[in-house]
Amino acid sequence: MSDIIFDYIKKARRELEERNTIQAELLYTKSIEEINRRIKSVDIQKKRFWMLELWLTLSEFLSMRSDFPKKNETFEESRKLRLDSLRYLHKAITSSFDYTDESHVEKLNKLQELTIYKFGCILSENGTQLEISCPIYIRNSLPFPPTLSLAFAYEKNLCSICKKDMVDESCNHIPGTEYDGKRCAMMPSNPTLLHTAIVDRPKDPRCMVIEISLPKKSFMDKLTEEDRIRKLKHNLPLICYFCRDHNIRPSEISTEKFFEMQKIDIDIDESNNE
Amino acid sequence: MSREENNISITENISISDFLRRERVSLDQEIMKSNNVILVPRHKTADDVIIIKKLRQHGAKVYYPTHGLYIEARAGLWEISLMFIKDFATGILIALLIDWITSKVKEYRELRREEPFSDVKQPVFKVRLYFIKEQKYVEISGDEEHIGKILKSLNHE
Repeated sequence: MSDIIFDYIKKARRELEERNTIQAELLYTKSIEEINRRIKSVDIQKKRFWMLELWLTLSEFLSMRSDFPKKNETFEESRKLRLDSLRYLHKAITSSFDYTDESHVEKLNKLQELTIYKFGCILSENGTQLEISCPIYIRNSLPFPPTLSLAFAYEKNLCSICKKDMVDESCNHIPGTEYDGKRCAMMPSNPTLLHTAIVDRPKDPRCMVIEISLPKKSFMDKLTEEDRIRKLKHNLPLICYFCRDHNIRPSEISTEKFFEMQKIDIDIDESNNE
Repeated sequence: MSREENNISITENISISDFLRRERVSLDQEIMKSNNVILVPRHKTADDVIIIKKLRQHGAKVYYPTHGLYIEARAGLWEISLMFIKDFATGILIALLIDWITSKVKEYRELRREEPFSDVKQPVFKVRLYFIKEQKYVEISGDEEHIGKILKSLNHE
């Protein structure tokens, strides 16, 4: 016996394929209402299952609303709908243990890429500056590799276990090995930082430029007069379309990073899903 | 006589005294007599320490100069200091070097997994060996695969 909720969702998808968005919205709304009713009446184990279905359905619904905005709905409102869609899908994936599958992860990645292409990324403003932490932007806009290497000089390498010079024959400890629950490490004595070098082959690939600060003016100058006025009047965010403009697939940006860069909270309040 | 190709430089028939003079290194005869692996680095690094420890685990008597500062962490080029090999089994040393290179690459890949955005090139290595018996100096630079292949071939000579 099929569940009425899934019937609603199937029908909503069919209506959407036919571009009957009003009917699709009605059916999605019915399915969401029914899921919420279900959540209130079932036991804890089943409740978790239905919460997951709720988030997946909400994500689908909000994505539809974003793609087919209503009359007078602004671009920014469409963006918000899309971002909420991503947040619900992300919540569903990260909250579940058995229910979601790889197809949901693929869907999230694809949806996110499309979001970045269509809506860009909100730039973080700080006074007259923009703080950019997007690795794609940083890597492609700097005139040098974004990776760094530090050089240190020091006198000795001391053993963290016996505190002797590691080169000394009396120290039998091997770096990286555990001794009585303590991991042996080399401890440089009296280190002096010699320099920081910009390199394309760093010893530690995690040493890289993670944020740059640019004058806001450099982005504002690229706007049309009309957009500049609209931005100032309605306090709209500045948007980066670097990936779209340079035809770069932003596949390396995780959802967490995407929301973090834009300083938007990725978490969903579980009590407010209606 | 030296030849160079494919990032390998081999200098043959170079006596130890000529070699030391070229490297501007002076070594006490007592050191030469009492140790079977001698590391004379161009600059000291923490990686030398790991190799020394492992050599000693295999029974080698290792000399390593105590003077001089350690200089660390320049670009992603890992260099193993110059080594003089006497009676100590070359096979063990070569195996240790290959093992060290493999562990470095593995460590690098683990770090890359944490930060996949950096788009950095693969690490390169430089190994410099002087074989006292053969009076041969070999310098190899390259990635893990290249160095591993050359070291294995040295072992079979």
